[in-house]
Amino acid sequence: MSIAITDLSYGIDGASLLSDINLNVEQGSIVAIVGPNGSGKTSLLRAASGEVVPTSGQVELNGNNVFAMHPGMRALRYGVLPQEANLDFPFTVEEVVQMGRIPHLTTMRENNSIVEEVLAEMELQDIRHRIYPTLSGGEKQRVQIGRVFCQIWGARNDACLFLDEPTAALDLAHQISLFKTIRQISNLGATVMVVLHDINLAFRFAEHVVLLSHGRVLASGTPLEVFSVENMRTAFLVEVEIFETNDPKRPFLIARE
Amino acid sequence: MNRAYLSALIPALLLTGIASLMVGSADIPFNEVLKILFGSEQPSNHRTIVLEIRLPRMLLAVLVGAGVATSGAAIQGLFRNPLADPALIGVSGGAALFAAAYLVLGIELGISGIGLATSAFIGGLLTTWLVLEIGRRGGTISSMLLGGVAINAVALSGVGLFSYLSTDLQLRSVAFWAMGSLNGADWPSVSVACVIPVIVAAFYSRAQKLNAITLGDREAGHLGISVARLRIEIVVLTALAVGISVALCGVIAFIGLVVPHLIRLALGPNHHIVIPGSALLGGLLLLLADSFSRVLLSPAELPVGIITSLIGGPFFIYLIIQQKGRLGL
Repeated sequence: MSIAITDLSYGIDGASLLSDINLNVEQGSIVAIVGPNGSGKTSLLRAASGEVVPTSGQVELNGNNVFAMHPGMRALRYGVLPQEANLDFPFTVEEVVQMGRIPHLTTMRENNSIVEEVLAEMELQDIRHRIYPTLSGGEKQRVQIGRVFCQIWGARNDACLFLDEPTAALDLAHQISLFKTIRQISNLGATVMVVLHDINLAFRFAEHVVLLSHGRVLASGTPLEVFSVENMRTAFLVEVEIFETNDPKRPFLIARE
Repeated sequence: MNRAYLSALIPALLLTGIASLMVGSADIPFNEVLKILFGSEQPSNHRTIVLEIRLPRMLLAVLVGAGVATSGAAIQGLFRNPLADPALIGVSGGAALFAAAYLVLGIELGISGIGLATSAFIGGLLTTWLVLEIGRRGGTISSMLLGGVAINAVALSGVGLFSYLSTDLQLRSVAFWAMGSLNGADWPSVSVACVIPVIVAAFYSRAQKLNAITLGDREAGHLGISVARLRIEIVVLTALAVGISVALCGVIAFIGLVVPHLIRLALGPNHHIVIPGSALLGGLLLLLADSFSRVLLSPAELPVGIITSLIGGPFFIYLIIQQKGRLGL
């Protein structure tokens, strides 16, 4: 599905969090949302996923207004990973992943085979019987991502994924394997919006980057266009150096002291 | 596997039920109880005791225990907090206050079980809403719990005030409202309590949604669940179950806290198991507690709430320690 955001503004209690956001996301692409703390990344994700109704502007999905969609229908194709999850009830890893199937009326057999595929994809088989609240932060995050994948797994060719800092607690190996999975899903046709803190991950995996600053789009385009020394200075107030790698489209960047 | 354990509670409940018909100020042997229940029609003292006193009391204990325990399970799920209990957060207190007010102000209207239960329901509904509102404004679950404790104190002191002002004998017994008792059980009260299985079924039909909401409100929303609607439904159902229970036998504390925990500990947190398990075990435990309350100081009897609180209080402390930093306090 393609996502079209037009003239979107959003605020709470008079404080403006997003202003005049315009963004078109084509079906099957991976869009990274980056920006300093408090720049509106999470708000943009929440508005785009239909979770909060904006003060003004539109979010359209294949031309349909997101906020007019029935939540039960939306849940069939929309997988959303919020930033933090507090689950204190002693469900097992497997049970948490299974909850991704709640919106679907598919058979038990179909659900089970999807759960198996997702457990394998997220490398969760060995801890499938562990109790969720006893897991480490990174393990919990992989379980929650697995739950979200499980929700849209049967509709990967026509789904939307909204992930808020999915790599925050993951080790290096799991970061890479997560993005490989995300890329596979997007190659099947799913549209992915992902909030990232790690600029270099965005450099490496995103096709399109949106750089936010003070609730506005500062720059939007390919990683190479967006992550210029100037843009980084304006948004983050730091000086960066950009280094070549053997992929000319995907250099890497570090901040100077 | 879990369902097998669950169904083991049914024979346990039946056996306890029959045992509760045998014991009391007059001991009636097993054979005679069976004969009275299923056989001879000759009138006798024992027959009257079993059919008019102990049987309705047994049924009321099972129904009320089931109602209070499933309410506890449901609001613990809804609040995502294992310390939520209708009696602790003031729902029962509010119901008791409105029931007492009905008795004091409604005496000329004639007291009927339905009117009493209705006003207890309204009291429960109002206090649950208040507690939710305090939680929403306070922003944390602990503010909701503490608000509930405060509301409970206010409601119970209101009950005390009404009891002090009233001349009605039953109402003057603060112990009845504050501690709970199945002393007044009779067939009309059992017939009012027959709504409880319907409420339990309504909780059960929402088991999947309760599972989803343990993930968080936003997460449940993204799984296609209307959280606001679910919240209202659970609050109304809880107020209904607790209101009826309080109108019939006062505030019975801790059953709603302890029972869902025991089930989760033994059989896991899935509400498809927790709701029916809490119904069965809640009925069983309240029946056991009531039977002890009748036998312990026979022929006198203790309010059953003394026994449930004696067991539940220490259990509550255990939970607080075991939960450690996870209460968000």
